[in-house]
Amino acid sequence: MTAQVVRRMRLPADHSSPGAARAAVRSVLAEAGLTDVLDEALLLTTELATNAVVHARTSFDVEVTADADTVTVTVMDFHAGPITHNYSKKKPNSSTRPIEQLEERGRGLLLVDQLATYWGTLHYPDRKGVWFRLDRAGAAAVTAPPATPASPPAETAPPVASPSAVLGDTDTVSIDAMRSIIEGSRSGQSGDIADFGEKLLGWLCAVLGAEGGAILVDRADGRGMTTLADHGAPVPGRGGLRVPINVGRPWRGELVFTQPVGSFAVALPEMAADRLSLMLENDRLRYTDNRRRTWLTYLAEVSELLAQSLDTELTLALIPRLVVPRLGRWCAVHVADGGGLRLAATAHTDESATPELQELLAEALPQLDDARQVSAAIPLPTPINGHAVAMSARGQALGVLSVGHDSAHRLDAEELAIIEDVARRAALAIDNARIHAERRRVAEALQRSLLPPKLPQVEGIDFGAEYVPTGEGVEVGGDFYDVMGLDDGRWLVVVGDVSGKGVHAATVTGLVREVTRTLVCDGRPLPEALGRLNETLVERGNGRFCTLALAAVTPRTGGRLDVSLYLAGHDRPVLLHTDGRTSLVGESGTALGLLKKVSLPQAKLSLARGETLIFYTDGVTERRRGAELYGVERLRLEASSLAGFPADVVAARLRAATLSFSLETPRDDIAIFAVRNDEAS
Amino acid sequence: MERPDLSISVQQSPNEALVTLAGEIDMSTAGRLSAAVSELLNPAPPRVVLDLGGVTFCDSQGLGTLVVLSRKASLAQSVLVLVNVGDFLLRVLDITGLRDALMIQETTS
Repeated sequence: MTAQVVRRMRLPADHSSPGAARAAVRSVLAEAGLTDVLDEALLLTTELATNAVVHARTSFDVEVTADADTVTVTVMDFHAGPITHNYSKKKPNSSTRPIEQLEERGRGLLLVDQLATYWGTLHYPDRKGVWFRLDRAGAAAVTAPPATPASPPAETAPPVASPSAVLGDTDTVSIDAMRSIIEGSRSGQSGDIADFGEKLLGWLCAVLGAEGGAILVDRADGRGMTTLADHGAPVPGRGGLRVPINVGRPWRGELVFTQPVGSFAVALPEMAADRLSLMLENDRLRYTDNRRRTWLTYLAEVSELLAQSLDTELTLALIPRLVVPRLGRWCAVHVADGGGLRLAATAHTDESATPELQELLAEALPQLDDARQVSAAIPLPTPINGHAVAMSARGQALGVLSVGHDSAHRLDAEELAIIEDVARRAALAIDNARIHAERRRVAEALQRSLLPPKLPQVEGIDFGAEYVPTGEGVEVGGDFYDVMGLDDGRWLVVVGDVSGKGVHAATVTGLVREVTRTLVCDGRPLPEALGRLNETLVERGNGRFCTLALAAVTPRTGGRLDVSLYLAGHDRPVLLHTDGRTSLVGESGTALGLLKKVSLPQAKLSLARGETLIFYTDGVTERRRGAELYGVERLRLEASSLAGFPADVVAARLRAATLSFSLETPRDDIAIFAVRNDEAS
Repeated sequence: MERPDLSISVQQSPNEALVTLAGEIDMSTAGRLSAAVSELLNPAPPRVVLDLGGVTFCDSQGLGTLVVLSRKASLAQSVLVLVNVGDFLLRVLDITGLRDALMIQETTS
C-alpha cells in the first residue's frame, strides 16, 4: 500500500485559482498512483474552487489527500453562511432570468453529488467548506462514509442541513438542503406529503423561475387527476414542464410547472419527482392496504352472516341487504328456476325505486341469463348502470347476483373483484342452505321411519311417547322406541339407544328394531331374542352397541298389568305409584353388541291400577345446564307430581321439564315412553 | 504553478466556421471562448463547428458557456456543432442534462 499523500494550499479569490487547484490535485494523484479518478477529481475540485471564487469571494484552502485507492478533496472558504446563494429568490426578475445563467453555477454541486463516492459539508463560525471523496472503481468497498476529512479539526460536529429549517426559509435554500430534502428519508415519513409537496414546489419554482407548479395524482378512484399540492400560479392542463412521478399502477402522478424550461434544468424536477414517487408509493401502499383491510373485514362479515343462515329463503333475502349500500346502490338476486331465472330478492337504497328496478331487471333478463355463462362480472346494458355476476357453487349455476351504482360512479377493478367474491360466497351460502334443508328432510324422514307412526290404542293399557331430535335436526339420533302386540295377547315395549348418531347409527337402529320385531313375533322367548340380537350386532353392527329396555306387558284379571322386564345396559325405568312415590325398577344387564355372551336378568313386576312405568334414554338424564346434569333424581321428582295423569300427559310433561332444564339445544336426542295401567276399576 | 490556458484557432469557409480548441475550459478561459465564438456569429455562417479534440478539461462553467453559445447560434440562424467530444465530457453532459441542449456529432469527417 502506497503512503498517503497530502497537500494543502491557500489560494486567492482569483480566476486562475481553480486551475491552480487542479494542478495540485493532478500532482498528488500522480504521486499516489491513483489515475483512475483523475477526470472526476479535477472536475469536482474545479467546481468547488469556482464556487469559492465566485460566491464566497474570499481566499480559500484546498486540501488534497490521496492514496492508491481513494482521494479526498476539501475546499474551504472564509465566508460563513450557506454553501451557495445560487438559488436565492432575492435576485431580480428571477422568473424571467435566462435559466442557463442560474444553472451553470448551480450545476457544480449537482456534479459533486453525482460523481463523488461520498461528499459532505462543513460549517464553522468563520468559514465553511465542501469535501468529496472518490474511490477507485474496485477499491475495497467502504461500508460507511468517513465522518469528516482529516482537516481542519472541528470544534463542533458539522451541522447537517435540516429540511424543515431550510424549507422554512426559501430565500436561503442551498443545494445542500435540496439534497437532504430530495434524498432525505426521514423528512418524508414524518411529514404530510401535501405539506412537503407544497414546500418543495415553492422551492423548485424559485429555482426554475416558474410562476407556479403543482403535484397531480390520479389515485385510480374514478376522480381522475387531482391536485395533491400546488404553489403560485395555476398550472396549465397541458404543456409547461411535466415530469411523471413513478408510482405503482393504477396510480399516476405528475409534477407540473407553468412554463417549459431548458432541458438541462429538468434534472432538478426529476430528482424531486423521484423523491415524491417514493412518498406517493408509500401513500399508495398504505391506502391500498387500508382499503384491502376494509374490504377483507367486510367480506369476513358477509361470510359470517351468510354462514349463520341455513335457511334458503332467509339466505336469499339476506344477500342484497349485505351488498347495499356498501357495494352498490341496489342489488338483486336471481335464482335458477327450471331453465330460467327467477327474481328472488332485491334491495335498494331508495325503497320507492324498487318497482322501477324490478321492471328494468325484467327487461334485462336475457343479459342476466348471459351472465350465468361467464365467471367474471359483466356490465348490464343501459339504462341500468350495474354489473351482473354468476353465482355458482360446487359446479352448479345457482343464479345471478347483480349490483347497481350511481351513474357517476365508476367501479374500479378491486370493487369488481369484491362483487365477484361476494357472489361466490353468496352462492356457497345458498348451496349450503339447500344442502342443509335436504339433509334435514332426509333426517326427518329416516327418523320417522324408525318410530312407530302411531301408538296402538289398547283396552286397559295406556301408552305415551315423546321424542326430541338433537339440536339442528339434520342428524338422525340413535334413540328409538317401539310397541307391538304379540299373538299371545302380550304387548311388547322396546326403548333403546344405539351409540352414535347419523346415518350409520340409524341403520343399526333400524336393524335392532326389525330384528327384535322378527324374533319376538316368531315366538322366541325374550332372553333368546335378545341373545340373537346381540350376536347380530356383534357381527354386523360395525362396532356400534345398543342399550335396550324390553318389557312384555300382560294384562291380568284383577286389573293388574304384569311386566316382564329386561334391561340390556339401559337405565332403570321409573315406576310411578298412584300416591306420587317413585322407584327405580329392573335389574341391570349387559348392553348389546359389545360382548359375545350377555347376561340379562329378568325382573318381574306388577302395575296396579293408575301406576305408570316410565322409560327414558340418557338424553333425559344427561341433559346439561353448564356442568350440571338433569339426572334421574330430578326426573323422579318431576314424575312424582304426575301421578294419575294419562301416559301421554306424563310423557309430554317430562319432555317439557327436561327441555326447560337448560337453554341449550339438546346435544343428544331424547326418548320418553310411558306405560300406564289404565284398567277401569 | 501551471497556468490554465486555452488556445482557440479559427478556420473560416463560406459554409462553416471551424473552431479548434486545445487546453482547458473553466472560469478563466470560458470568457475568451464565448467572445471568440460570438464574434464568428456576426455575420453567422450556416454552421459553426467546435472541435473539442484538444480539450483536456471542461467544467460546468465551460458547459454552460457552450449552451449559451448554442442558443446564440440558433438565434443567429446558425448551428453550433460539437465534434470530438471526450467520453468523460459526454458523461458530465448526461449528468447535467445538458446533452440535449447541444448538438454533438460523433466523429469528424
